[in-house]
Amino acid sequence: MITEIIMPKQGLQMTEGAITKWLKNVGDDVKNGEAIIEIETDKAALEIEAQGDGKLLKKIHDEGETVAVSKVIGLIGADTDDISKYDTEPISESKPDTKNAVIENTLKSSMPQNSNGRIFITPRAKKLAIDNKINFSNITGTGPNGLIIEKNITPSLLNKESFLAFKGIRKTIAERMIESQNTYAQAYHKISINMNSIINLRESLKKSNINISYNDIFIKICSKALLENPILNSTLENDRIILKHYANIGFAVAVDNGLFVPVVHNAETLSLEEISNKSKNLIKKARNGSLGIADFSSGTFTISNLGMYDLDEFTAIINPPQSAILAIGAIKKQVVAINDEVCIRPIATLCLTYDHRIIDGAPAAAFLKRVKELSEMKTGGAL
Amino acid sequence: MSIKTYSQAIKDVIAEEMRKDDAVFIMGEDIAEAGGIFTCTKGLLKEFGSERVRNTPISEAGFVGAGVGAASCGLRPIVELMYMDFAYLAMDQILNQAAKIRYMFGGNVKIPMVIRGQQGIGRGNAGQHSQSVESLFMHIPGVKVVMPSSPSEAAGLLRTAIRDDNPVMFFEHKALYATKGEVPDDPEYSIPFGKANIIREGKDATVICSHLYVQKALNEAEKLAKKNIDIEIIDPRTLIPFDKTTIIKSVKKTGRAIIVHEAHKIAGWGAEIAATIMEEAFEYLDAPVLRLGAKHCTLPFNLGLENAVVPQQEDISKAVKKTLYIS
Repeated sequence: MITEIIMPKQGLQMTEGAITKWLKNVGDDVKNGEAIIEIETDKAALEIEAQGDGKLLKKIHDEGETVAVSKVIGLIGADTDDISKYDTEPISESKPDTKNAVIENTLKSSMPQNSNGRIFITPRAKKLAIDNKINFSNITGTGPNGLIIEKNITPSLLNKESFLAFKGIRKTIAERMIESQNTYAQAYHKISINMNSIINLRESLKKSNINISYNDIFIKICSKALLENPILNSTLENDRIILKHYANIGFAVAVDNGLFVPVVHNAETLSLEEISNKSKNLIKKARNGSLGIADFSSGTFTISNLGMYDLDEFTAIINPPQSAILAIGAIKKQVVAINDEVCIRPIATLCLTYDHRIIDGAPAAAFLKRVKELSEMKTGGAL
Repeated sequence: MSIKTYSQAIKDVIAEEMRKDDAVFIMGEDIAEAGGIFTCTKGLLKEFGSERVRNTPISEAGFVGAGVGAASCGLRPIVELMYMDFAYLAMDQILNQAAKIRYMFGGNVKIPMVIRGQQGIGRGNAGQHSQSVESLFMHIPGVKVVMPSSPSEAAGLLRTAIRDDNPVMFFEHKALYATKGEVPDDPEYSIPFGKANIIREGKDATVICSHLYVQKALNEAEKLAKKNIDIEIIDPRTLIPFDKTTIIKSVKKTGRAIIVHEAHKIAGWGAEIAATIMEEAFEYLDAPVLRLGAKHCTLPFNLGLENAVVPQQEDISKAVKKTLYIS
């Protein structure tokens, strides 16, 4: 019996997925429930499991190809099964229901083209370039009429220029960032925080074998400050501003070729330790590409922490449809004046980006000031 | 190993197979007392007698038909055509009868027949006696098409042909008969059909050729090697069945292919191979597949003009360089 491997629909918006890796070769034995292929949607990377036992008989689509939801990607079955009807699945037959109807080859679509829209290159040279991720659009061919031939794809090009496929997660991030920049009136506030209390808190918890990150602490602090300043925790929808009295706080996790923003839901109801456990789990899932839709949905506010890169401070772009994002820089010992005395304190600079269409400077400043207060409380602030 | 000419190698295999199997016999024009015009049957009459070495009238349709009849009744005829050009007279016997009988009788009748003879240029035999007609027989299913290009190839392939239970068109080349080469003495020495011969390994371009062009390609390979161009030479040996695997593998390695044959270029077997390469190795190609074949012109009587019609040895290097974009 033939079992079809189908491109699954993960979430309402998904119309297509890109095959990032086949985990099995044709002829390999496959068990029901075993991971067989890795795909990437515009939101997440995930593994597809086999829905039947047998051998992998055929890969209908290869790595790098983008396939519409519900189309057959491959076949599982016995050697004796007749798979001839799958031999030529015409691409034009695919009927994805939305605008992304065209199934395109990852590499081809992301390859720049010259002004005429056509690059003359021999099939062999093209294969060599694509296999080595060499951008061939700017190569001068030495064949007849500038034809790019095999010998023009020289090893020296290997390290000088390369390309990455611009689709999937990367493309989604790009679209969202542009949407954010073009739609939101982004304004910035900065504030410096004395991190003494937070450092002490972390150290004391560490002694009890509880490891929490600065991020976890800021998630907790922000959840409290946001409920007190709900305009920072709001979304503009047509003729109304929706104020949210719960704090679903996303935090940016860098991965290869992009970033994920998993969300700690209802952070205001969680203890610091609970937040920490949740965020550790989410980070792990983000890194191995197993975040589910629910893991990065319904965020109301985002924290981005690049302190580990030793940045003094930085600004972030708002993650739509949220209205504010907090960027956290590195903790650095600085000379500060306290009670007219010169002191050395561990200082971190926070930069809040907010949507000035709905948030004015004063409430944004009040929110930041509250974050500062909570952070600097001797008893561990909000905790 | 013995050094033999191409014609000697053929004669010896016929004699060996006739000794081993009483069902094998040979017939054709002037093959008995005269020993064939290229001596491929010389001395056979004396050893095997006139029942098994039979002269025929000048009627190819008649004696090829007789061969089909004998084969269908259990004998293993070797039918010699004085010129393979004369096969046209027997086309119905070959392509409508021999090729189809086994299929149409549900496998109950076999036609273990070899039709052999020489073809090609080299003697100024003019339009009706100098053609290379092998491509014609590739198009109709049911006959095998064999093209030996050296004495040992002739010996090994002819033995396989005689022992095959299907009709085999065995194309010798008149200009190869006098060429000499080592032939294994083993009376069981045979070469399987459908297994191409990699004559020379190389990395820059694949030259696919048979008959006279194998040696010509080797000669050019030496010249090209001095210019750091390293060609691979493949002799398909049998066109039906055809060893696609070896050729596709080679082209995937080299990225360039040139097919050279003496048959006319238009609809010649080079077109079939070129198309196969494009179907199965397109993305490995760095240049169009090139074909060298005879011009679309009747082979002239004049030897100088004869050479003007068929591909010349130097044309091989020119084509190789063209695929490498070297002028």
